[in-house]
Amino acid sequence: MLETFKILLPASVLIVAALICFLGGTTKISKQVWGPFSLLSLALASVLLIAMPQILSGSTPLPGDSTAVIFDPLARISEFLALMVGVLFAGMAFRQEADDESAPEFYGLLLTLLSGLMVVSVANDLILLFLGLELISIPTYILIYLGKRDTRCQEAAAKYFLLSVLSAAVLLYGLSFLYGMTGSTNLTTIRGVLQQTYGVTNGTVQAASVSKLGIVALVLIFAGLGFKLAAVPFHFYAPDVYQGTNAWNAGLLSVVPKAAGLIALIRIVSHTMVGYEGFGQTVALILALVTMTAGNVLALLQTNVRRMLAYSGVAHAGYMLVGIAVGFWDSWNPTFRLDPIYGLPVGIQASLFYLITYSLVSVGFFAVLVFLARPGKEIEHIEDLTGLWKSQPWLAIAAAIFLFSMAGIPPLPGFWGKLALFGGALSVRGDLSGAIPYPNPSFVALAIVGMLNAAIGGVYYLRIIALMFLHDPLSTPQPRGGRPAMAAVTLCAIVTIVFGLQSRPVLTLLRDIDQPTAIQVATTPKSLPMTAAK
Amino acid sequence: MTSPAFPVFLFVVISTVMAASILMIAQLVGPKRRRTDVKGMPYESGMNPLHDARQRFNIGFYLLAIEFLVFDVEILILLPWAVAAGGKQTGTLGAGHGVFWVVMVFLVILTVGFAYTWRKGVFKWK
Repeated sequence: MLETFKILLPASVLIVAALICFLGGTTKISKQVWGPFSLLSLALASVLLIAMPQILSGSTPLPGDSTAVIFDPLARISEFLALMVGVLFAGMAFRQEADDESAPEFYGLLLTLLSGLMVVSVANDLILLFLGLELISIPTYILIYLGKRDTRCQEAAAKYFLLSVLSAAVLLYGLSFLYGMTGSTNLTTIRGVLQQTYGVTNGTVQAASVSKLGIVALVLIFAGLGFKLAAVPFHFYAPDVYQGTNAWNAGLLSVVPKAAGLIALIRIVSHTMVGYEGFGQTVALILALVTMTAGNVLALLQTNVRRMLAYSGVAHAGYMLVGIAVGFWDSWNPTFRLDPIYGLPVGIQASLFYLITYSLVSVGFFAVLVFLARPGKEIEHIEDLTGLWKSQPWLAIAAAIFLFSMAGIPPLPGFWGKLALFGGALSVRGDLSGAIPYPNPSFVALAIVGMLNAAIGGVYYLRIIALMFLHDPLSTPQPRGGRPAMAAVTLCAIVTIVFGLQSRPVLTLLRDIDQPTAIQVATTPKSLPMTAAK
Repeated sequence: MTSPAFPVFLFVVISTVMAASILMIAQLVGPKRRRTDVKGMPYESGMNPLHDARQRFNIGFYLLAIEFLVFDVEILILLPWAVAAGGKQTGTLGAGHGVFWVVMVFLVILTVGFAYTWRKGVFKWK
């Protein structure tokens, strides 16, 4: 019981800080205090997170325990991601919110949302996981509305609210089936029950076919979390909402719900639903194909910057789903562990690696837009960025770095992420006996479509770069983002370059993620559970 | 059972048929009343209504209703806890000191929300 609270400590710090923000906002304390205050609380949470192994030492080992929270490598890296993103977004908003009346509420909501992402990271229970997802969604509704108070923004907030509630209902419906099948909300227990029912012991599959309820549950969970990921066909809200709200909110939406959706997907589906790998692989594969193609093709047609980035975010979600599909294959066929290519991870690790690189450059590019925005005048049209090189050279270079990374140009991290994802898809072998190591045709198709998509994506990213560097400015921009936003841009650009050249530390952190800590497969199966999906 | 996705298809079909049939049965079996002006009139304690029922009213009512909801949820959680805490058994869900402090934290968070709305002037009727 005590470990539960210890693990939740960093998230609790953020919640307490958020409460102080809300209460303090009603007093006469200057509105300028809350930005630095929230940065301070994020720093405290980071210190606690770094010291977590020491804090937890002496406690009973958590893996295998049916506790509501778990502190495994996946939780650790996701929490670090949450705090990194949080610091950047809190810093970016300094100038914008400093003289705003609603500054304390703004920072309070941001901290609540980040603690929600941290709860999702550590949750090992369906209810806690859902709570974390709602802790992200509910502040987002208000933040979107606080961003810009015009009719389009209200429309965006209402649209996001209604669709998010619908997706939460769909997700809960799916989770209820999972609960009905196994009689527990604890992910470790669910995994154990499914393992006993459908898993492989001593080389024989227990049940000839998996429960039909589980297939319905899997589809519903994919649908509910697909909304958070903005995967096609659950992406319809994204362009309108991004366009309706301001650059800061759009940046937040492009990172935090996607991260939460991916982490939750790995936790609930990839790490828990034993026996459904074959079907899950098919679903993830189709979703990935449709999502990246639709996202990239639609992004080509856009002229609004934020709308274009919304579709580009959809496409990136598709790339992440490639890793999920490969991960399913990987855990379906434990004897044929995929080999890392060039030391890069494959499968779920590649997905998370891609999420980290995407978050970094996405935050960076939105920080550029925040820096260039003036009150009441956002960067709307792509042509507003024309000739940025002449007026803001450093900003143009940083923006180009982010866009090159999104397009996947080596040696930037986006390239390594794509290499890991598509390389993983190509290393999936079709013949399960392993005798003829020819590649699996559907995964080859996935990799080829993915590479074609990377090429399509290059078109619209390079179009912006060409506008920034090769044309004369149409008007002289008067950026009002101030130093904090500039610092966020600079930090992201430097980290992007360093990360591209040297990604070893992150890879080390990612290494142990694939092993679900709960109940290990006792013996490596000799014959493969082919019947499990039939 | 050709495709593994067959249960999903079945699920969609059954839920559609179910929803449609409930609506249709309600339409077919339900009492058929004529809608007259008097019957369609908003109910105001038996008196003839003064205005149209659809009019704007003070936002304060709405905020107060939300404030009521906060305490509603509080009671919803406190009652089961109070019942469980009274018992002698101390299981994982029993009445240990840990659970007591969890409930106290819950109350503090609720109180902060209440204090926030109070300070923001929800109870001032202008």
